[in-house]
Amino acid sequence: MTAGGARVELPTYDPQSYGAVCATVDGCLVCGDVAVPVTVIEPGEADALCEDEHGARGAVGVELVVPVIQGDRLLVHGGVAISRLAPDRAGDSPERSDRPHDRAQGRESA
Amino acid sequence: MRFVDEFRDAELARTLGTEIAALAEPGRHYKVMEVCGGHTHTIYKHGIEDHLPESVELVHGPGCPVCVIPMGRVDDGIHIAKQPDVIFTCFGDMMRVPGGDGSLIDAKAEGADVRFVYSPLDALKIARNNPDKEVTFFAIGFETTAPSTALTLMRAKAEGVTNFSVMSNHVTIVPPLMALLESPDLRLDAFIGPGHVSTVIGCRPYEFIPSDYGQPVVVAGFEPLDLLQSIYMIMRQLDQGRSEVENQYGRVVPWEGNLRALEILEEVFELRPYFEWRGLGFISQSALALTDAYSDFDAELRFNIPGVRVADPKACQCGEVLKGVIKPWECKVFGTACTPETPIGTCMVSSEGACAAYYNFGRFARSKARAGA
Repeated sequence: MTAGGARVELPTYDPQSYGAVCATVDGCLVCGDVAVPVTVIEPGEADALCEDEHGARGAVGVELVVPVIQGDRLLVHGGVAISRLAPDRAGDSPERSDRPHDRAQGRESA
Repeated sequence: MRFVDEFRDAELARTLGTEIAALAEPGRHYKVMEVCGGHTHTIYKHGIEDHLPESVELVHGPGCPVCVIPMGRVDDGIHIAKQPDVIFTCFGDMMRVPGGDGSLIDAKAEGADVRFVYSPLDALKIARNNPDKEVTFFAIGFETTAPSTALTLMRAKAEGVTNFSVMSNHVTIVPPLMALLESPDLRLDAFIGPGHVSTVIGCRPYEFIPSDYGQPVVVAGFEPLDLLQSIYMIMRQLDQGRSEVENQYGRVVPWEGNLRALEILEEVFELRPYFEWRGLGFISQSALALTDAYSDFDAELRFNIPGVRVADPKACQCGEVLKGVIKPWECKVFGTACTPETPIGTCMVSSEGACAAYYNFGRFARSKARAGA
């Protein structure tokens, strides 16, 4: 990116915890209702190492959704998992669904 | 891109738009309120209104917790931040919300140690790492966010961390909905229910809306097709003469909510007798304070906060915007004196605020509004 002829380096993003991925254009975690879907990599009773869809990893408080096992998909808000995600519905075919939306699958946050 | 494109499929969006239009009764005007600021953001970012018939109007509700914080509470937070040996932590958007005499970021510029965090757990970590400082977290948010604050306080208590406190500004979603339903200013046909709040509280708390007020509620997700499908479900209810609570966001929201989260909310928080909401005034039992069991962590007790009520700037019409009485572009200072860079009102500060959404995505310019008037 350049500004006024000078090259400007964009800052690299280093999330301290999950729920932190909050680009302005995608809404804002801090004002409430944004949450990030992650997958459990290393389960734990209080915190679990989780990975988001972009491959970034971090600790998530999982006490509200325990027990968790590797591969569980969680919804994280403010560094804490608040919900489990329904199993992937990739196998649903359009013929099996009476609602257009059900033909889609996946991302849970905005 | 997997998990994104499927919920942003333009062809499916057009199909849903056509089906919504087919359900609209000729000559009838429909007012549907999206309660959540995240929904407002999606609507303008993706141009959802472009897929709707003119007779279906989306009205923006009070679901942005930054936007509903009154100026006096900001001033109370700044008062704490300016105390010696205090590290004051808050979510990023809160930094720029104007109080009666500047914002937290102004206080930081003047020397106060104000830091933004992404999680209350990060604030607790700061407290552990700075035992000679008092660390306060300025907690905001609806029931989505309150569990993370509660969990943090439970950990602080279990670990015996004594230099950590919370100034709770957590609010609850149902009382303002009741206030809106009782408001003579606004007549609505239905609600798009908040998605992630409902992961915690479930869908049952909204049942009074169809049963007492005869209006449908559809809890919705945050992608464009989520919202269009929710509006379709609302229109189908209205067409069939039904009013029920339906859950469009079933892949995330359990009907009963998160029972463990509700348990810890019960343990850590209790309802305040009343709380001031920007634009809505005082609403009884609409906010959360710490219970006696956690009073040692209550920043309002630890610090002698002024607790002064500050009137909103006269030029700012956030109140009417939050109630859905006026559109953001109808405010006198929208886009002129009040911009995201120099906000006067909270609705322009938060990226989920209705004014910021209009300003950033320009779906309804003031000139267009005048031309249509």
